[in-house]
Amino acid sequence: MSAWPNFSSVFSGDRQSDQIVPPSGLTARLTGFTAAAMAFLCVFALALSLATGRLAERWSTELSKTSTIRISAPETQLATQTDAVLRILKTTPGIASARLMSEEEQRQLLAPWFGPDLPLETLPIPNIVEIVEEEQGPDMQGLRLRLSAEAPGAVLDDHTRWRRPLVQAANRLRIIALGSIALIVGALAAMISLAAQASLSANANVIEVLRLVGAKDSYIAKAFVRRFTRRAFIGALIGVIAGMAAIFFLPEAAEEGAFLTGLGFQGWHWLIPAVIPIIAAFIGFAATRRAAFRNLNRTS
Amino acid sequence: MIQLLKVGFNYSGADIFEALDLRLPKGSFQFLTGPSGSGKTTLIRLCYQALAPTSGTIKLFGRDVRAMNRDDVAVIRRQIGVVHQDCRFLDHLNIRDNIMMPLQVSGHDLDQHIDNLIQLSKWTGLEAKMSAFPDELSGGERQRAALARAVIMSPEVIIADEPTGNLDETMAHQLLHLLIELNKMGKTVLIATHDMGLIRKARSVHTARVLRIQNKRVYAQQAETVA
Repeated sequence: MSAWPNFSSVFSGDRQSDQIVPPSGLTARLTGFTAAAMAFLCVFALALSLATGRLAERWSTELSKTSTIRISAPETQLATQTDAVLRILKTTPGIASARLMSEEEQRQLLAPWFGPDLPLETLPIPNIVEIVEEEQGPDMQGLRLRLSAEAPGAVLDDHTRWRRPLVQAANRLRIIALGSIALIVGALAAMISLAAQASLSANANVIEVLRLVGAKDSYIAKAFVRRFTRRAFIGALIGVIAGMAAIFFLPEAAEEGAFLTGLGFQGWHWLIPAVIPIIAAFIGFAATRRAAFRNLNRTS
Repeated sequence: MIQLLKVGFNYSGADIFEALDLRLPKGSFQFLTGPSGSGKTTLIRLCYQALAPTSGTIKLFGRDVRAMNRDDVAVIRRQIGVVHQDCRFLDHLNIRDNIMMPLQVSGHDLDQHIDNLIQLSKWTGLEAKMSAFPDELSGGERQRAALARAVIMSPEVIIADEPTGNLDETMAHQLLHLLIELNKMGKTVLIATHDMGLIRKARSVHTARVLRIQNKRVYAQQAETVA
């Protein structure tokens, strides 16, 4: 027998030594409930972290290679300036494509605010040119100078102004979610440690009897460690299943609400929560082992 | 077997023992007596290393306990069967599992010791009580079960701390009879008791030495044999 129980031995069968710790009690229910609740929260924090990660990446990649030019000019000059803008873009290095958005596309863009029946032709709506950049991208400063010379009503928007804070916000959310996971792990370790300590104290007579009959500290510790590790594992497993079910059955929403309803897992990411019970078991193992070590040293 | 040399023990600033000497020779049968609070239980606990002395030397089976780590002490405790007045069972286990506990904690295959258990249950008269839980046993049955647990590992030394304290005279004599039988098998027996009737009863049928704790030391009374 090793001096202290190792992690793998916790899950191997040993019915006899499992019996020595009384099977029920408040600490048992507390450990299971805490592990389940923390695992449930951990699933959501993980989902939030992954969702914000995806959001940040999408905003970062999709928007970084696009820009728009808004052309606001008197009606008599609008077509001329638009032609000039498209001509300039065709000859500008670093631009993959540029196209004028149709009235229908503009109507769709404005529909959320003005409804689907907006009479665009009666409103002074600027023309919008959508630009897709090449890998290197154009010289934005030079492009702005040329546009101001040939189409004074054109305003180049490379999205940097609003893309950066959105990506920052998404990244910040991801950090908060990861921090939440760390807090959950810490809280779980603290709770299991307290529960194990309480159990060791409540079972001081059991420990005394075991010592009386010649049990080594490693044997006594192993019995408690196995009990708490298993409780943490089973509790976390239940919490993960409940959490994943809750996320799976989140109501689907239209694309406009995707920011909120995009919380969840995609593809192989559904497998990630499976590690939570293993981590919970390891936390239970380490926390109980430490508590047992301290308790047995103190009471020797 | 067990030897205490110039042992001192201090508890909360009070000296319980000073330069105490005690020897338990192999095969001896000894009573330890003394007034209440004289330190009988403390001395018993020193003998099986549930307490460590504050001074002096304790040798268990020839080994100085100061050279032992906690695992060594646990292993050597398996050679000392202990019976307490309150028995100290694991109440959630039945008597069979409680008796087998020393075998279990020392890593023995329990199935290979079933015959020992059956013999012990007959010897202690507990055949019908193996599936019962400690709370379901009478005081005498509990003491006999505690004795069975103490001897299941076939230890060299049996130490009993007030084993008859909660028993009537008949039960006390039954238990004493079992302890004498063990001594006749070659086991070393030490019984702490304040029951002078029990000591007289033992001396009437067996050779027994009486040790008395007085003034923080142990004094031996001359052994007698009464046929």
